Amino acid sequence: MNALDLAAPPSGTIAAPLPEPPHSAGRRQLVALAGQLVAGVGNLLVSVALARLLLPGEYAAFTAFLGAYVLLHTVASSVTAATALDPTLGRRLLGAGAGAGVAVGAALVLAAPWLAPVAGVSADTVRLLGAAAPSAPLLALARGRLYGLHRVGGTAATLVAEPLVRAGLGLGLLPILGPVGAAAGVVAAGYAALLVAVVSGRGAPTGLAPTLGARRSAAVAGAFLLVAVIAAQDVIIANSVLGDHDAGIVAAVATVGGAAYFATATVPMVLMPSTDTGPAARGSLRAALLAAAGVSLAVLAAVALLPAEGYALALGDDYAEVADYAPAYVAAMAALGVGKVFLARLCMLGRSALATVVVAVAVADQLVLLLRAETVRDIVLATAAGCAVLLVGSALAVAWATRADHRRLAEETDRALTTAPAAEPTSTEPTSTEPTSTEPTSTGPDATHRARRSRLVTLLPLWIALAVGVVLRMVVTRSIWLDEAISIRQAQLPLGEMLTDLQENDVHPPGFDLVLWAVVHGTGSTAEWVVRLPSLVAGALLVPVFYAMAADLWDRRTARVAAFVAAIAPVAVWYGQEARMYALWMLFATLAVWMQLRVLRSAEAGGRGGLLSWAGFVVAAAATMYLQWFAALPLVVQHLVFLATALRRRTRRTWWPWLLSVAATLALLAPMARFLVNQGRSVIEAGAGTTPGQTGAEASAVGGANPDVYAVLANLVWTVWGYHADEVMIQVSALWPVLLLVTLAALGRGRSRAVTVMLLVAVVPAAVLFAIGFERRQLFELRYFTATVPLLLLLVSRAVATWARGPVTRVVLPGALMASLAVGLVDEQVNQSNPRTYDFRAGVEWIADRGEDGDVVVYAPEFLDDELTYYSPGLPTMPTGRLDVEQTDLGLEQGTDPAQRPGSVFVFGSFLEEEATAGQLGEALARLEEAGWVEVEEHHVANVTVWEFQQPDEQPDEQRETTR
Amino acid sequence: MSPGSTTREHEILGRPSTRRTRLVVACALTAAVWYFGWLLMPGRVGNPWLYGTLVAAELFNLTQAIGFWWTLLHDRPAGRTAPPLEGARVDVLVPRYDEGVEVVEPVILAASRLRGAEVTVHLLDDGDDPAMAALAARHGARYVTREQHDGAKAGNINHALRRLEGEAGGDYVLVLDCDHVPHPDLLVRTLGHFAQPDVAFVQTPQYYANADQSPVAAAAWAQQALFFGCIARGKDDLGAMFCCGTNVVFRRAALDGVGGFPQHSVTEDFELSLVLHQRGWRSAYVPEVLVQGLGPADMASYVSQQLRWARGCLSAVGRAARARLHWRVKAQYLLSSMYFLSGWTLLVYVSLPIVRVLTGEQAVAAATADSFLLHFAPYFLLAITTVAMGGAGSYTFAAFALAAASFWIHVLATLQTLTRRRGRFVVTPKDGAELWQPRAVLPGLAICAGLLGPAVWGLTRSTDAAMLNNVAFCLLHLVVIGTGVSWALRPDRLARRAAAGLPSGDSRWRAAGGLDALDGAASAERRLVSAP
Repeated sequence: MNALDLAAPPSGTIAAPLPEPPHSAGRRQLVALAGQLVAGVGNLLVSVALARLLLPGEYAAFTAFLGAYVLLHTVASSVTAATALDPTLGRRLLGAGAGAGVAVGAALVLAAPWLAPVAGVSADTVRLLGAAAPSAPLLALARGRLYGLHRVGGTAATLVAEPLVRAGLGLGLLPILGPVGAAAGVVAAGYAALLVAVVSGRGAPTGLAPTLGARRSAAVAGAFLLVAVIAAQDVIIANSVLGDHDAGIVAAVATVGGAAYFATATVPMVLMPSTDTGPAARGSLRAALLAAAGVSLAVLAAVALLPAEGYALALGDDYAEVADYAPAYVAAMAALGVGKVFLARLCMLGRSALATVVVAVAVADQLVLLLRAETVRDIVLATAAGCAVLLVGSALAVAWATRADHRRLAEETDRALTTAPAAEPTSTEPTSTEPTSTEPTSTGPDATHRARRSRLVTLLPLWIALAVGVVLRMVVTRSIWLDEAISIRQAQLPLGEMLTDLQENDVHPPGFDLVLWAVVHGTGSTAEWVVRLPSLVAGALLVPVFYAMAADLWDRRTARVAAFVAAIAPVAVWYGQEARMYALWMLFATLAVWMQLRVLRSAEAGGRGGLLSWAGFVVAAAATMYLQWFAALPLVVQHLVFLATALRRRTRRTWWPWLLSVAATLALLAPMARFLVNQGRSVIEAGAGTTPGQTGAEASAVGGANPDVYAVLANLVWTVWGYHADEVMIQVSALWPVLLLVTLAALGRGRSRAVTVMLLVAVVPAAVLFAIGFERRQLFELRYFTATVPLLLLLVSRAVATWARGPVTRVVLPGALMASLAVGLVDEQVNQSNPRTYDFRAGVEWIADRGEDGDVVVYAPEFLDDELTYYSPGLPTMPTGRLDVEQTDLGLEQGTDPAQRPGSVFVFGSFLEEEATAGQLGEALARLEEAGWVEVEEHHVANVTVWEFQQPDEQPDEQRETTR
Repeated sequence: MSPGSTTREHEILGRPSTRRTRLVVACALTAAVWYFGWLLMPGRVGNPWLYGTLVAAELFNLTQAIGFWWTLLHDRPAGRTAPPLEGARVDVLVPRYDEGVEVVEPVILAASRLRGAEVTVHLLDDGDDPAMAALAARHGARYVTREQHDGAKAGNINHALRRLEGEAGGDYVLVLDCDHVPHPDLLVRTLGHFAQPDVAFVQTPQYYANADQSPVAAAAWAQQALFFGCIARGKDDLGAMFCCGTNVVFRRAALDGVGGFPQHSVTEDFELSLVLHQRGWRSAYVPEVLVQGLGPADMASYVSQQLRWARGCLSAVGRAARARLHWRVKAQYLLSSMYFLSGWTLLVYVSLPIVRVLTGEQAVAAATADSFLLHFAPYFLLAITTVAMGGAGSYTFAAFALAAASFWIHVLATLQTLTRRRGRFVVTPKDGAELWQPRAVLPGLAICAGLLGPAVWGLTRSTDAAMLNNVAFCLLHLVVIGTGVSWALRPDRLARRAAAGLPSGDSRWRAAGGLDALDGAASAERRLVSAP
């Protein structure tokens, strides 16, 4: 979080709100949002202007002040939420708030000489902070009251007042007082906002009854206070654990990322004074969720589309790398924004203590990660993790609380109906004037609303799973992989050239490349997130497809489990983050099997399968073939299943539809025939036989030269729990007796057509590739039977959802699976020993940081060329094979100014476990040393090593060092 | 259910599938050769004692497995059903010891309404309970009691048979346990087999109607379903089906010819079958659920039942080995009686990882886990597959866990047999006490503790692959045995299940209209036909 949040303090409520139509809630949200957005943009512009006008150190100091100021206001504004629920708190807490503000202010002013050096800011800045202190609680209470009274116009006005004063006064004082002037502007803006809030709240109705007790008020305040901690503590901690430059980057990232948080700040506050039951509540919640999600995504899109040059232009050249972190940070803030809505809902449902617990867990999670952070990336990831925990936790808590609330209401109704004495049949007059809007009825609009609510609650797990799935796929930690780099290079070619290149130099069908080509040419960008977007979308879509398929084939409980499994399954997440075809393959393979099972179900019932199901099967099956040639294996199995079905007397009616589906599939694949022939010819001419020439195909293969049992186990572990370091894989594989237990547990569980077909489609291709693996070892690898992944995950979901029958095991078993998947996911993504993690980006960044004009990069193996083109170090590059041993200078001057000798030679190596590559690199290093170059530093990142060589006269005086 | 309906029959007992069975058995045999060829190589000997124990256990289980597969290959679809026998007279003997009226009355009532023969019901009361005399009188049954209550159930039946000798008794005798309610068509479906003059008895399955009410009964029924499904059909095809003590119709002449039930054994039925087969009589099996009984509803009941069976069958091993029978029949008797030694093998399997964790000693040497798994996994998977196929899905993990948790019963029964400690006939309790019964599973609990302790200790010492593998084995056994043991520690679950549903067998019969004949009968039978 960041400076901009000081305008966020939420608040306001009406004591006894009357039921209101949903459009009223939507309108209020829109007005408040408009005010907030104007304020946000204004604050952003002011901050951007300050970033450009101040030196990085000064800006960092100002940001630290702003962070402290925001912390002050957010501490105080924690009462805003409670006041929004009960506007009478505005007056009840006025004296205490003012007193506390003055006390804190006085303490800060007095302690300024001691605090300033600790915080790394000037004493004047601390004093200004003290001056701002009294405004904080008063502004929080005033704004909360406005929210509670539904004074959205006043709310918008007080929000807009802040940036106006900041800009006018702060920027005006900047030339005179420097950063202190800017800080003074911020303080003045707070008081101005307070004035507007007080004026806007005048004339409110009197006689409102208090609705919140002290304990609940404290819990609500506590929950929102902790939310603010999540948004603020990263900047503060980064300032102490990182160097100036990185801290400045974090501050800039937080400034940009705070836009999303800021934009949604009013949403929960506007929601809270709404009625907490009935259709109006549902309308309010829906409006709030839509508002929060819509605004967050809009901000995310805007931030993500901004290239690095844009950040440099806006924040200054020192902040260009903000582009690397901003999307992830903004996504985290977006999650936080949506999470706040759920927290507000929890408070409305009287579960404020639970809300506090949820946020506390998220804060703790973030804090632990922050304290271990060493880089900007670590800080961003810590905040993302905290926000994700908050979002998921609060959503689950709302689902639970809503259901519990619903059950309680139903029980109370039942009790009332059971115990109510029979009314006098003649007495039709109402005996009470109390509102009856919350009483359940079985017909009419309430019934409709109840049905809608029921649907909402029913689908809530899906939405949560989807959100989790999207967030996890967006938090990408690894750099562009070799195969991705190849695809990206190809996608930048004109279409015809790309297809020719694919036919001549590649081994895959063109489906994914065509999608990527459209994305790259449509956006004009090859940024990481852009090229990975198709996979992200496909990976995210897998979640609802899992849900729908499981609900269709089995039941809703399985569907819920399946959706969460799809969301967090490590391999599904991994390929959802990779600019390759595997995520799309998983998606279409799943759809193809689903459609086939629908056809088979219909056939068993005497039907022909249904046009839609057949069409869906044909299209999905053909799509898989456009993505991967190995998709032919599961497709053949599927058609054999159809053939067996058509040959059975009972299901013979599927014969002609099946033949038609074969014809239709072949027709759809026909355009690829020529492509296939040409590519096949190229591969054979190149002497590669039928083996895909994928780079790094043997990466992380556990096992020997031939497929063995451990290779099977390894692929099984990869399928469910993702890719891990070899040591971890060996340990996990040692747990194979668990499989015996699973086998025993499967006894008597019965069989079904769906399970049998899915097992066949999942296992047979893998078995075929296992057999082929004795000839071509690298083909027995999960990537070539990726269609197995979703099917196996669905089967696991089914087993977990149904095998447990006791009330405890029904919770424990799915929970244990999810926990194990989460652990697998974290290890897969974070553990740098993962042999599939190649941090080319960091390696190149290291060179870029140290290199100077005239330096040269030598690399091996040769197929790193696309990687070094994508992550250009800004220096000439050449493979080690081009070192000319006949020349004394080894030919290093090639491509550079002949008159200028390279100052440094960087040797960039990877795949060192491969004998040939290690040999190439070893020879290159030896040649350099023979030519008089001296190694001055060696840098290691995941699976990448960079050596820096200099001529003796170029060496710095300091001792050679080795960093790792 | 309509007793003639084979569809119904197979829904309960599983459907034989000859071609698929042959294929899987062939694969399983191949896998067994593959595994034992690897295991028995001289270089595999690790610690000689452990290795010897392991090989002994594995060979014993292989023998049982091959016996099972052999039986499975003889599980063929039933041929033509035998036509009913006209004009037969049947004495229905219902021995009773201490069961209550509510248990016995439905049996007497249903027995008195059996169709297809002239039926005389005898309530053989070893409890000398006047209420039973009244019950018999109420339903027109004969009340039989005796002065000396020797020989337990066998003595009770023999006493009744001797009394019938002096009367103009029937040609056939139906024996029903006093908690086993017969279907009205029981005799219609069974008597036809006596058209073959050398058939001594016709056995029908035992079915636990309370399988839906207790997890223990459900697991016990799953075990029974495997036996009365593929195994009993296979034994029948091999001419080796033995009498199971209830739901069985005897030719009176055959019974008289061997002097009635042997009274020296706690498994008088098994011994009687052995004697009859030795005398050249044949047996028949009707694989249709025609009688519904009550299975052990809690662990104490189950332990009591299993201990009696194990004790009786193990004591018959010697006689079976010495019996002059066709080799196939003898082999089947030996396989059945020696099954109750299999608890020893589980003890071996459980001990090996514990010993490995605690001492580092292991049975097999010169073998990587990869190699072991490559050879063992196919054998294990195919063996399990044959069980799953044989049971047609009726054999569950719960049944396996219950059997595993009862390993100590086999050990105890063996020791009792070896020390010639005299067994005592204990009536299997019919109504679960639904109490916390840790004593009934104390050895199982001890083994669980014995697995958990070393597993935790091992993990504190090392987390290398070898240690993790052995800890995983410990946990595997722990989960299996723990599951079986757990039902003795969760009485509330038993109580919930008991209150949950109908006896499934009753509901099937009701759906098939089989109980129509009982409609309107005494309130006691409402246990069987209560509407949901």
